Amino acid sequence: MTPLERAREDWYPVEIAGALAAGQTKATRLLGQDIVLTGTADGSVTVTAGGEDWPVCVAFDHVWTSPSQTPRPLFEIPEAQEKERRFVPCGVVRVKCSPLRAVENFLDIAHFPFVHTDILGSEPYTEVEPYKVDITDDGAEVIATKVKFFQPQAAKSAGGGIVTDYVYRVPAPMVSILYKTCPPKPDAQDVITLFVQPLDEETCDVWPWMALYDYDSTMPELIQFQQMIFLQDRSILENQKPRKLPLDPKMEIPTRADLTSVAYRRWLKRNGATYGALTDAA
Amino acid sequence: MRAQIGAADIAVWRSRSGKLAAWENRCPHRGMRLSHGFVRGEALACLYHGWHYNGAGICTYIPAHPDLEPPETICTNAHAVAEQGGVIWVSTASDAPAMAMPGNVHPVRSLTFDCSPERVCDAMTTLPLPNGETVAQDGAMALHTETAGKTGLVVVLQQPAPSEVTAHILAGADATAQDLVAISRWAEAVRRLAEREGQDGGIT
Repeated sequence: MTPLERAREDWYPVEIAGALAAGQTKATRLLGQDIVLTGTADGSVTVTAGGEDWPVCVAFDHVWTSPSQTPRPLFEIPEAQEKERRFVPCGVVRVKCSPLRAVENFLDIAHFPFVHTDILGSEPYTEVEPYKVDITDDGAEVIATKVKFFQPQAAKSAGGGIVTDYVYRVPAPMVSILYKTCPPKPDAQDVITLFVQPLDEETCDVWPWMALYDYDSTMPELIQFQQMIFLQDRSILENQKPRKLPLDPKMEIPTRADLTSVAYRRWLKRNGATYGALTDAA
Repeated sequence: MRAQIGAADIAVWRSRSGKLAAWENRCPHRGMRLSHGFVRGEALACLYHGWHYNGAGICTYIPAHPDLEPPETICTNAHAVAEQGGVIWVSTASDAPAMAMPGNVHPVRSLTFDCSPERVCDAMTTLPLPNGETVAQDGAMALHTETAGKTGLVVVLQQPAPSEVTAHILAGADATAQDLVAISRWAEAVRRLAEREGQDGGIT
């Protein structure tokens, strides 16, 4: 199976649910192929690619599609069922990088003091304490736990600096879900996800989504906070070379802080999920 | 700053004490362009994770592990760099000969052209300077004027991409403020000519 064939078995986000009016169309791209979305009278969306209808589902406030008529099951986010959370689709950001680089950056905490200075991190609080990374027993997910980091403003709802606990899940090659300390509700965790639409191997549309316990901020404030963070990430992602994610360990040197990234890269390789990756030494 | 010479993408930086270094524009950790980094004293820090590299390109500090002494094997790919005649020179070859530049010159400005170096040279040698001097070409990538043994103008060309040229323009030490303004205006006229020739397909 080629990396493209493997990638064609997954679901990908292509629009926010309800964004297209009946009859309204949107042209976009997925895995190098032109596709057209059309809003339908019942509030749903159809997806066609070269005259062929693709399957569509709505989950986590987004419209998902797949080039396969029998895609792998979409992953689950149990917290999406918790009615007391606020669900925040954050729009889309186009990034000229591999979809895998976008996910890997999302898994990284060591960049917070330098890229999200005085928000998600600040000097001299740069140390990354040891944490734990596992692959689930069925091999389906990468999970990082016991991640801790000092953050001056961990969320829109944070009043001041706190040590934030993180858990990361990678349930599909181009999806990452993080659970982090919720500043107004210390016993609960906010959920922030990155859903990535691969336009091709070196360009992606990123759809962040959040499920928060924040009843005070307005939707525009929540979206603006997340967009500000992600635009800071984009300035990095568009300046990494090569644009594809190198899987050869000799090409990019990791440290202990990069355990999640190391596990993610190995997991991609083992699963043949290398669309957007560089598999040979350049 | 970022400098490009054909396919070579290079980070050039100067330390607090004035030492120059030129490296492949890529942090060995996660491939980030080092030209986006920041200078901390005698080190360049990568913008992504703040890894410090000393003047020799060796990693000296990893902020995620403040107590760790990084192994010396973590280092940038360093290029030869020299400062001569008011210009910073970089070579990706280790055995590049020193540049022959007149010493007594002052930088005027650097100007980017959307055309080939040949067109820049053609335009520069076609259009006389405001004082009537004509510019002579020295090989493919340099030009100068000389009157009575004195250097009036020196131009060296850098080619970041096939149809892009940056002309670094310098004037002799005797140039007055008025001369410098005249040279700057001449360079803009040269650019208009060179880029117009590019569209027409030849000098008319």
